[in-house]
Amino acid sequence: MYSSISYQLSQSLLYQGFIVVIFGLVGVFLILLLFFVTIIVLQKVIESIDNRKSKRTEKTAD
Amino acid sequence: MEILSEVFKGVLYFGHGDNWKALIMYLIGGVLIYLAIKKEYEPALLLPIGFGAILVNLPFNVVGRVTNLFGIETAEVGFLEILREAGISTELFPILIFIAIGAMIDFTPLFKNPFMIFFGAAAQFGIFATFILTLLILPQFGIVGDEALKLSAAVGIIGAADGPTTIYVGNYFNLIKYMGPISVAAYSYMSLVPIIQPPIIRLLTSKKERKIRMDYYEEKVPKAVKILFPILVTLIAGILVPMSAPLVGSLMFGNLIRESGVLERLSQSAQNELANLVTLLLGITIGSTMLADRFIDPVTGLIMLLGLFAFVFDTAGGVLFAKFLNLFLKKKINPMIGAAGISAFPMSARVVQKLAKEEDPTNFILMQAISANVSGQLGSIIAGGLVIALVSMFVF
Repeated sequence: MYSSISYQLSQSLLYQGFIVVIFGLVGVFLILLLFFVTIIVLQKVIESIDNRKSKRTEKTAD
Repeated sequence: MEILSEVFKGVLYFGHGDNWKALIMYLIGGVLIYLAIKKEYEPALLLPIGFGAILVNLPFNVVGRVTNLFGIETAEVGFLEILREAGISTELFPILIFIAIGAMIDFTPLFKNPFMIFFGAAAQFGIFATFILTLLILPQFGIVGDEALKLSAAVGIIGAADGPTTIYVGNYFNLIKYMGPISVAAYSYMSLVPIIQPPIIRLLTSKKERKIRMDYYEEKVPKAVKILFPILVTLIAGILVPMSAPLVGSLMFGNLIRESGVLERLSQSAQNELANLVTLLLGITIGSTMLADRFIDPVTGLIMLLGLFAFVFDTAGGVLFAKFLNLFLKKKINPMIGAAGISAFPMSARVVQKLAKEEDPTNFILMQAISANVSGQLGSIIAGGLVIALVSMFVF
C-alpha cells in the first residue's frame, strides 16, 4: 500500500519534472531567439536611419 | 570549578553532542582558503566563504544565530546573521552583483555574431538534465515532494555557472539548509572551469573539428544599438518571464549605465567598488550558511556531485549542439564554441581559445567564444527565471 502511494507520488513528481524540463528548455531557446531577432532588427533599423541621415547630409552639402 | 568551566566553555563546547563536527568545518574552511590562495581558484569568493565557514562554526556561533552549549539557538543574532538576513534573504546581494556584472559586460562581440546567442541557450541543457537527475535521486535520500522539486531546481541551476543566479534561485525556494553546499558548489566549479571543460571538449570533438576556423568581421556597432539592447531585452524578458525581471533587469541596468556614455563614474563604481564590496560581503555571508550540523550531511556530497554533473552536461550540451548545427551548415562552426555558452565569463571563452590554439597556434576564435559566453550570461538568468516560474507552479 505504502510503496504504491510513494510510487505514485514519485511518478507525479517526475511528471512535474518533465514539464519543467520541456517548457524550460523550449522557453530558453524561444526567448534567446527573440533576443536574436531583436539584435538583427535593431541593427537593420539603426543602419537604415543612419543611411538616410547621411544621404540627407550629402544632399544638403550638394 | 565553575569559574574554570566558564573560562574554558569554548573548549568544553566541542565535547557536547555533535559540536565536534565544527572541527571538520574548520578543516573545510581551511581547504577553501588554501584553494583560494595557493591555487588562486576564484579567490575573491572562496577565501571569504572559507573564512565565513570557520567563523560561523566557532563555539556558540556568536556571529550567526547564537546557540547555547547544547546547540539550541537563542534569540541573539550576530553580524553574519544580520548580513544574511539583509543581503541573501532579501536577494539584495545577487541583484547588486548583477548590476556590477552588467556594467562589466560588453555585448559588442555578440552584436557582431548574433547567431552565437543560441549557444547561450544550448549550454543550459545541463541545468535541466541535472534537474531531472536530481529529482530521480533525491527520494533515495528521503527528500520527496515539494522539497525535492525545489532542491532539484537549485542544484540544476548550479550548472548555469552563475553564482548569483544560483543563490537567487536557492533563496527564492527558501533552501536555507542547503544554501552552503549549493553556493560552494556553484562558485568552486566556476573557478574550476579551466579544469572541468577541456577533457569534456576533447572527448566530444575530433582534432579536425577543433581546428575549424571561423570568420570574424570588424564592424562598428552603432551606439544606439548598444543603448537600446538592454532596454528591449529587459522588456522582452520581463513581459514573457516576469520571474526573471529582477535578474535581467539588474544586469541590463548595469549594462545601460555602461553603454549610455554619460554615467562613466557610476559605471566605474559599479564595476569596481560595488562589485568588490558586494563580493566581499556575499562570500563571507555564504560561508556563514555552512553550519556544521547542516553541512556535514550526505546530501551535501550529493549536491556537490550533481553540481559537477550540471557543469559537465552544460559543456556537453553546447558542444553537441554545435556539432548538430554543423550537419546543416555550409560554413562549419568550431564545436568548441558551444562549450563557451555557459555563464562563466570570461573563463570559458579563454579555455576554448586556449584549446583552439593548442591545435593550431594561428587559429583565433576568442571573439566568437566571447559572443557565446555573454549569451550564456543571458541564457542562465532566463533559465533561472523560467525554473522559478515553472517549479513555483507545482510547489506554491
